[in-house]
Amino acid sequence: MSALTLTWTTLAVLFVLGAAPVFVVRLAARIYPKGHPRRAELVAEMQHVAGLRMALARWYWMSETVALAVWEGVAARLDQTVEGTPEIFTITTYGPATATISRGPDRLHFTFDRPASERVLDPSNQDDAMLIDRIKQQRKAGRRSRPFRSALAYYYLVRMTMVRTRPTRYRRVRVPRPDGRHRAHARTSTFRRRGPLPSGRP
Amino acid sequence: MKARRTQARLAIAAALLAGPQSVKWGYELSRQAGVGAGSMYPFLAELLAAGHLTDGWEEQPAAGRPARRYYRITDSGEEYLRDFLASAPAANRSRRHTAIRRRPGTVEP
Repeated sequence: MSALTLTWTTLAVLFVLGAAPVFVVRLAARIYPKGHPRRAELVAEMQHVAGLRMALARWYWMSETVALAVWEGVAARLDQTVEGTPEIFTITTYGPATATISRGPDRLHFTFDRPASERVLDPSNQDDAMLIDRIKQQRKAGRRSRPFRSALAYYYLVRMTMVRTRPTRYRRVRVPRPDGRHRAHARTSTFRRRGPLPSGRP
Repeated sequence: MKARRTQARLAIAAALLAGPQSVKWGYELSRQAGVGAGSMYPFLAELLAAGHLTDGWEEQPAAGRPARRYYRITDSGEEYLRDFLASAPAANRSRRHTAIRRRPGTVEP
């Protein structure tokens, strides 16, 4: 019995890691709370790792990432619920006087009078707090409505779980009957005959 | 920030210092340091929260792929990681870490 259980567990692990890696990683990313940068980072890294030829490296990365997502993501959710995790916004320079402020994939491009230093924004600083507020507003404005997101999630779920098969084609098979007449063979199974036979029989 | 000095963290610090001005992707960094994601990302998050790292997102990702998150050391981070490596006990410097230190461009602690 234990051997059977072990086999089924092994098969399940093999299926999850081998056949549905993208689904598993996307699911693991959902463990992180909304707006957590690891959500987007995990999916982006997964796309990169999926291109690797070494299957063993992919499996190792996936298993470790999923374990980390469970460990970190649950803790992050608890933190957010209990005390509210402070969000980290960083300012990243891309030129002499322009900067990108990002928190996750949300980003704002600013032009400053003087070169902006690359740093983490400090919410206690008034100027930084204003920038954080602007990016939060942008994120809120860019967020899709809940019904739309639900429909999109449902669509992706169906798309991920659907197995594409070729449409089954049934062939009409003529089987000689003892009385010499012919009729559709598969009448009782998947093939349903439409209309009466040419001979007029029902 | 009082961070633990494990072999994995030392290896990550050495890998980050290997190219202080360049940007590092998560998976690339883990390969370079020879450390798994389970050890690397919590340490990166600590450095990020302390202001020793900045993060950003790829400006022009490859077609059909989402933007990746990158990490870059700040000036204070470079100084901090040098101290972090220098103050590590000799027993913590594993063979793996030694190999990383010998790469060209890395910093001798």
